[in-house]
Amino acid sequence: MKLRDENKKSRKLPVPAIILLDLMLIAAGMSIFLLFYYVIPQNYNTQDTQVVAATTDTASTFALPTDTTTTDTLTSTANTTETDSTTTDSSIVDSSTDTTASVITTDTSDSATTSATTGTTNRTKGQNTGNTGTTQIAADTSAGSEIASEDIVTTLLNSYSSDNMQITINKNVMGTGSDTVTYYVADIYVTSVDYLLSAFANDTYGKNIKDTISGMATDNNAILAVNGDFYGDSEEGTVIRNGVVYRTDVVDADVCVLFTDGTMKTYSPEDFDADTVIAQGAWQAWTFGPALLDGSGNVLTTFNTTDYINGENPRTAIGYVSPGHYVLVVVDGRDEGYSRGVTISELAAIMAEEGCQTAYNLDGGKSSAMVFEGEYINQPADGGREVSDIIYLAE
Amino acid sequence: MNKIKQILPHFTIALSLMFVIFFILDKINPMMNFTDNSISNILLVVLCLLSTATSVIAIVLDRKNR
Repeated sequence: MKLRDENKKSRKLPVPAIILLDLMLIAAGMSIFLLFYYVIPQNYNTQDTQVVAATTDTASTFALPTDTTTTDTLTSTANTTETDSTTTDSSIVDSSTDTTASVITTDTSDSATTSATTGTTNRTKGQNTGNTGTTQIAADTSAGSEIASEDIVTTLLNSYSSDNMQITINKNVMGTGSDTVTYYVADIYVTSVDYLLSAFANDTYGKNIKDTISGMATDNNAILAVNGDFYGDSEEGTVIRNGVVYRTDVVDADVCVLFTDGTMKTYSPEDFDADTVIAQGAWQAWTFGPALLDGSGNVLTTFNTTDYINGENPRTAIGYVSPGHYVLVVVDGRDEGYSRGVTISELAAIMAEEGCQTAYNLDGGKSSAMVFEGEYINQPADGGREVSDIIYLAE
Repeated sequence: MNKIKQILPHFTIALSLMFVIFFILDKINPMMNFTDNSISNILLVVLCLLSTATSVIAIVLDRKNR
């Protein structure tokens, strides 16, 4: 009996070994959790999806601009890879007489090539963070005047023109040294919102299903594409894409809705009513935010966001000027000397400067990217990341 | 049964400390959303069941020893 007790005692693990085993158990548990949470793709339930808007019969049609100087310039450069230089007011500058402008143009070509290479080869699987846990953060009122007073050097990068749409992509650089900000503006005219589309990675609605922006753009024959709201990063939040409702739950982030009549509105979580926007013909709805402008082109006084998102970051934003006229902006960041990124207040000021009435911040950081005809226009931070959806234009 | 009695408290400790880590990470960065997602909700139910089982076993053993 005594011997049995002694054997039992000797079989007991020492306390440090038990602690070590428990720690290993915790590590294993965390690893399994993270694997399911971030890595293993899960298809969301699509049984409840509902087609609520079909633009073919009901959508409004809009006229493309015909007689502006800018448009004439666009048409002449459409479908070419040549670059011209323009000043901030979009007037054409002869590059042979403007040394600064021609230098910038050369630099732009180089950076565009580099970003295209980096973008397609060095995609990383960095973790994204959504706009949740929001509070009302006061806008930096000086940001607007700073942006307006900055000398912005604008370079026309690309353009596209057809019977259905006109796209102009400009590269804008403001500030100097470590304060330099580089952003890309796609000015878009479409004859119908039929051409302003969104797509899921691998054409599948689900969590952890991701692809590169250029990959999704190629899959969908996109002329121009930017990242969307990374809906797959969250299990909640309104998702309406190309007239199909996937989910309509409201979180604490603002919601942006593009309607079939070409108008775009932003809603605070309190004001958003899914049934109402669906009845009004919701074509796309994104959940990220915050909303940047008040619907009349004025920068909001407070933003429904978090301190983290409010800081200087790479950005993607969609803006509404008038029915059929939209602006997509991608701001590069986290690259001192090239572009520091911008705060939400600065982004709002940029969107207001671009003439937008309504504007909405989409997913940013490493997600921010703009792809034109399969090539990256910008230089995504740290090589960018795979995302779950894009906003794109296609014929 | 003895094996289960021995292992259960360790799983309870591991799961409890995992939730402590989730709460700390969520405090630091709420956008990671570690505590309010479908997986952590399932884990929370498992933790409740484990805690109940561990507590019941502890009470039964205590009564036996008296």
